[in-house]
Amino acid sequence: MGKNVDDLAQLKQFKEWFDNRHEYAKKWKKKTGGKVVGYYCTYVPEEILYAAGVLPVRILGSHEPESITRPYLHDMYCPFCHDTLAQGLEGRYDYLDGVTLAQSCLHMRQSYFSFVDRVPNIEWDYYLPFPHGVTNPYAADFAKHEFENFKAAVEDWLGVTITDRDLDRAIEVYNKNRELMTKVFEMRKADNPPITGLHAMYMVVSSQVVDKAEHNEVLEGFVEELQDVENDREIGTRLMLIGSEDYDKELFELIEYGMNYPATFVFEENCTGARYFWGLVENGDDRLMALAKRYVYRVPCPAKDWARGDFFGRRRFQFIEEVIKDYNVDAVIIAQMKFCDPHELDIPALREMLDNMGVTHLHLELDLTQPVGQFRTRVEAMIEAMGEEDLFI
Amino acid sequence: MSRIKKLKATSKMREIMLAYYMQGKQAEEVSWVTSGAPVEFLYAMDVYPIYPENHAALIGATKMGPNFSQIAENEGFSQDLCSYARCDIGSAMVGSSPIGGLPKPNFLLCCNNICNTVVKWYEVLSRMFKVPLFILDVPFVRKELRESYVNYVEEQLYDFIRFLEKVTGEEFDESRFREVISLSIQGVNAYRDVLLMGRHKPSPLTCFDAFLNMAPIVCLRGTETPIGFYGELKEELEERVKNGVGAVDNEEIRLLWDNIPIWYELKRLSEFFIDHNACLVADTYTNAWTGILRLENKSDPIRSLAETYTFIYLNLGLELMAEAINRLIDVYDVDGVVIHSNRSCKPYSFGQYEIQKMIDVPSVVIEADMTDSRVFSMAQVETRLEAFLERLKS
Repeated sequence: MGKNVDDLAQLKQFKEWFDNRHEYAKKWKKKTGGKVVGYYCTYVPEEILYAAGVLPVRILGSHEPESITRPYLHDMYCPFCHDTLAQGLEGRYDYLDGVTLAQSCLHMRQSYFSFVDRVPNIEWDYYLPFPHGVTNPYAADFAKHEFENFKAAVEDWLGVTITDRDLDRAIEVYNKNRELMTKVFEMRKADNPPITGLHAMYMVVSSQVVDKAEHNEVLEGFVEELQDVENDREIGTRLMLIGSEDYDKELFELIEYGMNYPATFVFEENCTGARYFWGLVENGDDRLMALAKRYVYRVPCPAKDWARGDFFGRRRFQFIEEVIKDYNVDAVIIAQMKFCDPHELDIPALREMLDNMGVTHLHLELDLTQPVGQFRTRVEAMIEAMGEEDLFI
Repeated sequence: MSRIKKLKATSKMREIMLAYYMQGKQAEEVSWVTSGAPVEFLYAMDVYPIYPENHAALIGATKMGPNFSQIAENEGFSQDLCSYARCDIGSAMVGSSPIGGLPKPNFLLCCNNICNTVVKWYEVLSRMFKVPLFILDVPFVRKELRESYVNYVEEQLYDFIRFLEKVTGEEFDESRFREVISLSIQGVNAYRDVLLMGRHKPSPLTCFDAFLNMAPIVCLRGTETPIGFYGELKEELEERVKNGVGAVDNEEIRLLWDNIPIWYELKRLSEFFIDHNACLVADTYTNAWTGILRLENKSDPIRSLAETYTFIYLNLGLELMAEAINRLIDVYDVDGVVIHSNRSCKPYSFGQYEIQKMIDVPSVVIEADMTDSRVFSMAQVETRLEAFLERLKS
């Protein structure tokens, strides 16, 4: 008899890191005496910080109702940017020594500026220019140049020199993390995937808030243990999640554990899922160029995803198409953060692509907290409608 | 009878813009272009530039914003999206508008120095019309304009020239380009002189006049038209000054407007301020076009363009934005600022609460949308403005 995935110590560890991310960072600081830098958006080359001995942690929200951000942010900025700022204002990130943002969207930029100005004790902040035109031919050169400035600023702040060896070590740790998480995702292609979307979310998001080397150790064990997992849950409809950052466990619990019809996520195409770790740094002599290429050519955030000169070559859509085939996806849940305009403008085209592929889809708009009851009805209705064809055979 | 003193030039502007759109329908090579893009390249290559943003403003001013927005919304575009984008996409879908729709583009030029939404919006257009899209990616200037930003933009401008040569089949003519730039600078100067008339007390124009008459500098910059038009407009304003005529009788309070206008309420808002003896003597929106093309480096116009199109108002960090507002407060000697929190325009509404704390005079925030009247409540806005004006008067 194989093991139950929920009993795995590694999974429990991911969940514990996810739930207690602030405590982890505080303990890490105490233990190592190192600096912690919070980052907005997954375009920050964490490797450079890591090479300097810094712990990079992603700034995340808490999905709790709040009203303290209104003196700083208008209502039409996305709930994620309100939520992250709220955490800062409430003092939950008071352990951060620095904050950084790689140019992404206006919402993040707005939240970042207010965070830097309003959260006490931040001794270092860095706004990292990063190309939006990730498909234009000069993007990698520009990113590399800005990464050089970023590296110099980190060195200057900490009074250290980041050597090529430091960078190699950091790249190695980060690549290993990427490889291991990709391996776990690959296992989800199986008819009976060993993990759910909730598990994957714990794994990926915990990797964004803890020391990657430590995460790798647990991940290695996880990959091994997953070979022996025997899933006793009914997989039901194989779902893919596409959209904005989504680390609200309520949504996963609802769809995978709380409905009248069984359903399981087999892939998450978002920045708390595959978009974060997909694609390695292909190391070369020029480390910063290698990093620049990885971040410029990764599966893009919709804010940066467009085709240059023609309308066929969009990287993210091509990626989605491949995943749907490889992972045998039955239906797609498009979960978009309210007010996220890059997603909002992509969704009609995405729906059209899914329609052409004959893949059922449902669009949910995420807010600070989720209307779980409504979502249940809608997801159940979608699954029910998918089964209608069988009724008429 | 309306208390608004209309400018004669405004009827001329309508004729100019009608002719501009009509000519566009006959043009061989048409590009749709964002408002902050370096249009000089297009005029130099005989490509007719069409501005969906200006067209959406026209839709807003004719109070048809909700109508065209809903067409896009029915196709799945969120109501939370920029209403210019929704109006434009909606209008393109059905091929109609108050001027009978826009001419179909041969290609698209989008520059993200004004916002990120345009990038995705233009991609939608690119798919819809199946035409090539060129995106000029401009880094955001948080505190200072760095050389690396200018290098990056400059490289792309040369790339754009190659793109233009490919799509038009014509060779880029540098002397023609220099001519266009020279016209552009003259137009911008003539336009700035018009806006500066607002320094007079009483001011001969309001920002509503500036809004109504801004289309030529946006759409026809790089041609002879704005030079002549703004020259005439300035003469008309000078005549008012000579005769001691203000745009608002009994100008007691001088104000600055921040953000895009509320196009469908220009008349009511204009009358509201007249009734309260308050004159909006300037605004950050129309002034954004006066900064274009300072062209300090005349020997290398392309590098100069890269610099000026990177350092434009909506692409600046909060401190620089607040500095620009304080400069306007100083130049136009204003008593207060009316800040429009524009539901549609995130970059323009960016950090307004923070900016409020950085500027030198009192300000008020009103919530609205530039073209979508469904999210606007005149009663609420009036109450807030009345309280603000009372405060300034006391």
